[in-house]
Amino acid sequence: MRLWLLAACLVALPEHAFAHAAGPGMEGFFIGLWHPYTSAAAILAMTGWGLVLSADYARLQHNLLVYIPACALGLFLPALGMVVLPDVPLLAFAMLAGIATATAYRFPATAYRLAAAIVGLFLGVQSAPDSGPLGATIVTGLGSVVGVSAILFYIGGGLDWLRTRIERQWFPVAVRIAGSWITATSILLAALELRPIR
Amino acid sequence: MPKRHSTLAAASTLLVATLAAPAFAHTGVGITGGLLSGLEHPITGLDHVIAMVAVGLWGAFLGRPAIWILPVVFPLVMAFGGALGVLAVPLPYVEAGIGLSGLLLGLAVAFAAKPPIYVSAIIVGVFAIFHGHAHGAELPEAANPFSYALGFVVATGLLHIAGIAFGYLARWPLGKMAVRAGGGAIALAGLGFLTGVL
Repeated sequence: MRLWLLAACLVALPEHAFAHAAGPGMEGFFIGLWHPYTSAAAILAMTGWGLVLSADYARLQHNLLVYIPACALGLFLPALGMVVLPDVPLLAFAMLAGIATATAYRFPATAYRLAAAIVGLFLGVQSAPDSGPLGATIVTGLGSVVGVSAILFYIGGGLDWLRTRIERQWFPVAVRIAGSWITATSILLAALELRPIR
Repeated sequence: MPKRHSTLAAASTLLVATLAAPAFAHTGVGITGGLLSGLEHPITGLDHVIAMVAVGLWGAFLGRPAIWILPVVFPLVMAFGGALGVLAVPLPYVEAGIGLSGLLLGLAVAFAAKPPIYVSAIIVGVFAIFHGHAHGAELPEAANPFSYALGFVVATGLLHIAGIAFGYLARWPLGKMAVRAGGGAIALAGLGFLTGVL
């Protein structure tokens, strides 16, 4: 009992940890890593895509071999002078991904590869680093690629793993409902993006 | 308790203690403010609450697959209605549609109506447009749109789940009576909103 009381008191003591990056220039990597998560459209698109992959992760994970290079390509498009506004396409992708999850519809393999290329490209554009020294730009871009890929491993692979552990009827239903929520949120955000300025 | 278990418990507690951070309990601004606004919006209107609970109740009453189809259809179509509200597309008789949803969905549960699944999905979908339009038109300008939309969709889903949970009582004879009585109460409340009594 006294040990638990001591632990409860210790809970009140911790402060923020201000963690300096280990090596010079690594701050850029972490900035790139978190950049995709600063955009609502990107979060919804990545989450929706992760839910789609989770339906049959073992078979669909190879689409990451298309997704990651597409993302890397997208990082360079703004630097080449191509102006692309990624939010609405990402929201549209999230809507479709959510509907695919909610309906548990299985598409042909080509459709998944195409989807991987499209969403990867737009996520890359959304996460493109600002112009600067080449080395720093590459490090930041690398962080962005890791950032947009990591969430897929967690959602897609994580849900697939959970599916083998939770053999309950409500689990696939919960995934379908999550898909519908992704679509619903994306529809509302798209409307907010497109509404005339008052 | 064996000594190694108490050592493990103490070590785990100390580890958890180091993870804690100060709690900043401001909830009115930024992402948390938007999320809370979105979460509370569907539950601050009793006319919305009774209809969304009735959807879950009816789904549980109808059984599979309605038990998940209806809570998937409602947020999807509601978001579409919300988009119409955000874009200021006029929709007539919104409040009447909301009142009627409580009345008809409550009656469906009270009379244990079991139409074909597509009929129940269409009925729920039609009413979802009115609810969504009302929410979308009332979207606060200052809210963080992503967290507001997410909170609003999640709150709707949670109300459906509450209805489903209550609806599971229908597996017992007394529970079935309670569920149908609940449907009757919802219908009465819906009539009250429709006639302006409530």
